[in-house]
Amino acid sequence: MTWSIILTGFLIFLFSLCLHIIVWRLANPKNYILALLLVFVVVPPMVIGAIEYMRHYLVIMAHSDGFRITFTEWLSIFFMYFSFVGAYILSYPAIQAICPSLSILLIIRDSMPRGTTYEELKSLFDIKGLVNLRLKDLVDSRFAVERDGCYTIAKHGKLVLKFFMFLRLLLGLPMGAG
Amino acid sequence: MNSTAKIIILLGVSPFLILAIHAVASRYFLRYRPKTSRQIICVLCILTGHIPMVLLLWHFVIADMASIQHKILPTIFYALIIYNTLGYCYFHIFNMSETSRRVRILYELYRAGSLSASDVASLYDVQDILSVRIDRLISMGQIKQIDGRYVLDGRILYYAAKLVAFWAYLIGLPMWSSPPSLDKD
Repeated sequence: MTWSIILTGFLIFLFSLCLHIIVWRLANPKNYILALLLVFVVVPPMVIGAIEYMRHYLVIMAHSDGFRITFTEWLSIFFMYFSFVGAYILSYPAIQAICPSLSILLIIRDSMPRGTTYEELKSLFDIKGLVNLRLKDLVDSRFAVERDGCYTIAKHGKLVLKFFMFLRLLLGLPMGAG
Repeated sequence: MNSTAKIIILLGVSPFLILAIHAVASRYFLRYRPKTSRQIICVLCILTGHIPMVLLLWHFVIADMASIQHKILPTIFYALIIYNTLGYCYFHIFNMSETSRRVRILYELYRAGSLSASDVASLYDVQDILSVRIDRLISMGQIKQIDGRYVLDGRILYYAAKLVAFWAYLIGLPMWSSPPSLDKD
């Protein structure tokens, strides 16, 4: 392992974040899970692969050894890169949705030093709005299906849910309150 | 097997190591200290996992690197970054199972077969959503109650909230451009 491998991993992730900002500012995709996978999982490895191929081709044309990153080094770089991608994609729901816990903290901070009562907090949250937005997210991401005003769980949604149920079982915990 | 492959394998199994520690700790705290914040238990398990990870890394990787000492520090740094990033991923997955409205809604849809939007909304009570979260924030030491009013206590999650709001603004998400707020008197 070398410092250049670590730096390369960081730089590729930075490139992906910049691409993410540009795409979201231009398009703000509805199916954000698919869009995140495209921006972080599909495009950067394709771009890196294309650059490596062109560089390798140019090195052969110039009849020189050139600077090479070995296969195991690329493996290390992408292992690090995809760890960062996983962390960001898992953080994204809290960024995309109005996370009530984080909103509560911002509201309380805004009211300092006086503080906030329970009733004041309650007056600011529209429960129906919060639930309807999440239902819409689930339908847009194809985890649920809506037909004639009724919602059912889709195949992908069942898969995701079973994973969480299994995790709770392993930890000896009941399903979360949400 | 070269050292790169060993590091990748070790780090690849680290989330399962955290899961094993968490499975034991979760049952212990549920039985003997049920009021302990589940998020704090999870974080403690991730921090505890550093000990076996460092020992395994030392035994299987660093011990073989005596002849290439200049690579030891970047190797340790690389392992720490990735272990903690994967630990962060684990925390988020666990926290989603604990607090995510989407997971809860999917669970209710799964149990009921089919629900209307108002049926789903009726599963939630504003009081429930708020009380559960306020209790969680208090048990994590982020807010406290003084004379019937909630004030900030710790700052970690508050700074996380600011970072999230800033990033959402940067990528142009409309919802965070005007979060709910109290009118200042």
